[in-house]
Amino acid sequence: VRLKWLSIAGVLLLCAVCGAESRCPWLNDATAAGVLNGPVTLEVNGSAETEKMCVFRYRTGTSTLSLQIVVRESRDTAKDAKFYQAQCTSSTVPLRAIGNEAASCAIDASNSRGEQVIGRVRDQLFVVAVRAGRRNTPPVKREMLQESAESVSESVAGALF
Amino acid sequence: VKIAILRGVLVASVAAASLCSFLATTQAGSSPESERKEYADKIAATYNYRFGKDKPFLPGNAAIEGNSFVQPGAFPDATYCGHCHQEAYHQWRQALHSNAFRTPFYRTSVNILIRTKGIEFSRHCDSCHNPIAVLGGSLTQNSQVNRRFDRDGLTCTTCHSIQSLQSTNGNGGFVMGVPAVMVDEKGNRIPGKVPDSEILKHTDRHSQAVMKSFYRTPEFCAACHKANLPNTLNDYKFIRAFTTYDEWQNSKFSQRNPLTFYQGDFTTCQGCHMKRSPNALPDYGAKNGTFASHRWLAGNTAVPFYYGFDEQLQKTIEFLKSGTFLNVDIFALKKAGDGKLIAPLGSVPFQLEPNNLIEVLIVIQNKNIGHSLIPEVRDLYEASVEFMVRDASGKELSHSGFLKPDGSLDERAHSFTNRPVNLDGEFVDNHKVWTIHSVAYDNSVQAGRSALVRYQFRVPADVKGPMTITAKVNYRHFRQSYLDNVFGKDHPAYPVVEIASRSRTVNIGENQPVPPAPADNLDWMRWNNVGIGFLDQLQYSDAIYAFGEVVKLRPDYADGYTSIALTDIQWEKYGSARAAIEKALSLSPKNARALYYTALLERRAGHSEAELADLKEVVRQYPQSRDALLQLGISYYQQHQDDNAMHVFQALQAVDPDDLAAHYNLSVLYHRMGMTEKAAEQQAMFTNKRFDPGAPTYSLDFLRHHPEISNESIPWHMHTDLPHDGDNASRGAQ
Repeated sequence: VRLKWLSIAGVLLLCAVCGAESRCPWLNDATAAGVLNGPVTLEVNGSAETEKMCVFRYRTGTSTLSLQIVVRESRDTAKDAKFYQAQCTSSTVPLRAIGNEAASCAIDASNSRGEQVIGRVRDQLFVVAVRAGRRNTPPVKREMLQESAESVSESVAGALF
Repeated sequence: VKIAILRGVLVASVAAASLCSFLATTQAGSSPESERKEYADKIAATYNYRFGKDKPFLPGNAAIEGNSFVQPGAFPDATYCGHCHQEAYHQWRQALHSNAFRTPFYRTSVNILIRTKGIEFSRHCDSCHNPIAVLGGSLTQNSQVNRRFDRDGLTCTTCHSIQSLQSTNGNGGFVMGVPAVMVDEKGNRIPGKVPDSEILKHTDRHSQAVMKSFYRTPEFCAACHKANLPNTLNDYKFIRAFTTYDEWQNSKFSQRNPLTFYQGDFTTCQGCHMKRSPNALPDYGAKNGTFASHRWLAGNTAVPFYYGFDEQLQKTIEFLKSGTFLNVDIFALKKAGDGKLIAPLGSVPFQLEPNNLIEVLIVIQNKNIGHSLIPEVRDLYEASVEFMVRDASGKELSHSGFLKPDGSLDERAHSFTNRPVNLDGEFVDNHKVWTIHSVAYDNSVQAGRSALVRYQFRVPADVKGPMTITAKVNYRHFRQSYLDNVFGKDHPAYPVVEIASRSRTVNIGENQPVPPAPADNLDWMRWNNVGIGFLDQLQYSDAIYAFGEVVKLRPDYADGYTSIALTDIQWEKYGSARAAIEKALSLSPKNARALYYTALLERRAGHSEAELADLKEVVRQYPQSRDALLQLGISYYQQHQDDNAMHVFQALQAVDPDDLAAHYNLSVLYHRMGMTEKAAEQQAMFTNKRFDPGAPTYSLDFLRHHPEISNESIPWHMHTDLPHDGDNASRGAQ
C-alpha cells in the first residue's frame, strides 16, 4: 500500500514539474501578456490526448484578468460546442474569418464579466474565454474583452490550421 | 463654437504631449540604438542559430542594417500611417500584403513546416510573409516575443523601411533599415513614431524617410516575387521555386529581351498591380486626385472571399476579367481522315456533316500578362480550360474541364498547373516545398506565348445544328484539394473566375466566313500564335506552315521570317533557316531578334567574327538580355578571349544570379586567371544549383501512377471522350 501511495505521489510530482515547464501550444506568454496588459502566469492542463487547456492569469491587487484557451479534437464539433454555448449569457454573434467558423458571446458571472469565442478548425473545437473580475479598477470594458477574445481566437485558429 | 475651441485645445495638447514624449525618447534616457541592443541581446541569449551565428535569418534572405534583431515595436503599425493615408490604409487592410501571414491558406502550409522541421525553418517563408517576425527574432523555439504584429503581415513600415536590395535572388532579398518616418535636417533617419504635426510640417523629410526611387522598380518586387528552395531548407540542393521577376524580364514589357514574339510598351510590375485611380478617402499620398493602388490586385480571390472583403474581391474579379490578359481563339477544325486544317475559323468556308470526327484546335494566348499563366505557386492554383460543344437544343455533345459535384476539377482538364514530387515520387501536397525533389509536369504559358490545346469529339448522327463550341479559361484560387486540406471538405465553394472565353457557332452543312468579334486577333496574329503553339509542341513542320501563313498575310513582317528561321534552327535545318533569316534582315537590317539567330547560324558555319559582331550588336541594343549575354560569353570563351568572356558572364550574373552557364564558365575563367577563391565559389554554386540527374526518377514514378497527368505532360496530346485504339482504360487526356 505504501509503495502504491509513493508511486502516486511520484507521478503527481512529475506532473507538477511537467506542468511548470509546459507552454501553451497556441499562444506564447508574451502575446498573452500583451492581450491582458500585464505579466501573466500560465497553467496548462491536458486531461486527455484529445483536449488541452491553457489559462493565462494577470493579477494585480484586487484586479484579475484571465485568458483561457481550450482545444479539443472532436468528431462532432457542433455537439461538443453545446457545452460551451450553454455558458453564454448573451446571444451568440457569428464572427467572420476565424477558423472554419466561430461565434462569440458574453459569459458573465456574479464575480466576473467575460467574453468567449467558440470556433472550429476542421475537426478541432476551440474556445477562447477572456474574463475580468467585477472588482477590477478601473472596470474592464466589454469591448476590450470582445476585442481580446477575437484577436486571441484568430491566433489560436491560425495555429490550429 | 465652444466645442470647436475645446476640440482645438485638445488636439493641440495631444500634439504637444506627443512631441514632448518623442523628444524625451530621442534626446534623453535610452537611445533607440541602446534599446535595440538590449532587445537583440535578450533574443540572442535563447535564439536558435541553427544556420550559423552570423546568419540569423537563414534559410530566408531577409537582412537588416546592423545585422541584429530589432524590436517589433520599432515598426509603427498601419493605423498610425492611416492617420494621414486613409486610402492607403483602407486598401492595404484588404490586400494580400496585410494578410500575408494570418490566412488559413498560408498557415496550413507553414504550420506543417514548423511541426515537422522546426520553427527556425519558417524564416524561409516568413522573410516575405512576416518579416517583422523574422527580424524580431521571434522564429525560434519558445519565443517570448509578443506576436500581435502577425495580423498585419507586411505592414506599411516593412516595405517603406527597405533601404536597399541585395540581388534579384528573391526569398526576401532586401535590406531593412530601422523604421523611420522622418529624417532630420541632415538626412539622418529618426527611428520610430513622430507626431503627425511634425510630419505635416516637413513632408519632404517624411518622403525622404519612407520613399526610395527603387520602390518603383521591378527589382523591388523581385525581393519577394522570386523564390528558391536553398539546401539549408531542404537538406538537398538549390531548387528554383518560382521566377515571376525573371518571367517579366523575359517578357515584352521589360524591353530587355530581344527574342519575344511581340513588342510592347515598357511596363513594370507596379504598372499593372499598382495602377493609379481616384482615391475615395483623403490621403496625403494622392497626386492630382489619384492614388497608386495599395490593393496589389492580382489573382487571389480566396483571401478576400474568406475575410469578407467584398470590395477587394470584386476588384480582383474585375482585374482578372479585364479582357486584355488572355486571348482565347477557336482557331481551327480538322476532320478525321482529312488532314486539312480548316483555319482560321471564321475566315474560311467549310462543310460539316453528322458523324464527322472533329478535332478542334484552341489557342490560348498569354497576350498581356507580364509573367506566366499562372505564376508563382502553381501547385496551389487552378487555371484550366473548359471546352464545351452543345447542339441547337442545348444538349451537351462534349465537355472537358468542368467542376464535378464535389467541387473538384475534371481530371481530364487542360490545366496550367504543375506537379512537384518528393523522393517517393508522390505529389507534394500542401505546398511542402522543402520535400520537392523534382517536377513531374509544369504546364504554364509564358508571357507572350501561346498554348495550343486539342479537343476531339464526334458529331452525332442525329445532331440538331447549329452547334456552339465554347472555350474558356477559368481560374480558381486555390485548387479544390488544397481548400479541402485547409478546411476539411465542408467549406463553401470558392470563386471560379472566367478570365477569358470565346464561342463559335458552326452549322451542320455549309459554313461561310463571318466577321470577327471585337476581341479577336487579326488573322496574321492568329496564325502567329498557333505557330508558337506548334513550335512549343515540337511540331516543326506545322509551325513553319503557320509562320508561312503569317508572312503571306504580312510580307513586310520581319519577325515572321525570323520565326521560320528559329523553328528551322530547332529542327536543325540550317540551310532553310539561313534563307529565312536573310529575308528578315533584308526587311529590318538591325533587327536584334534576327541578328541573334543569325549569330547562331554564323557560329554553326564557323564564321566567328560575324557571330561576335552580331551578338555584340544585340547586346548593345539589349544590354540585359540573358540569352544574348549567354551566347556572347560563349562566343568570347570559344575564341579564347577570356577577359571579355569573364566580363560578359559577370554581366549575365548581374542580370540572373542563378545562371548555371555563368557559374560554370566563371569558375573555369577565374581558375585560369588564378582567382582560386572566386573560382571555388562559382564551382560550389554550380554544383549546388545544377540539375540533379537522379531527379527524373521521382518524376517518372509519379507519372507511372498518374496516367492523366502523364498524358498532359506530353507536349502533343489530345483531349477526347472517345476511346483510343488499344487503350480501353483511357478516358483521360490523351
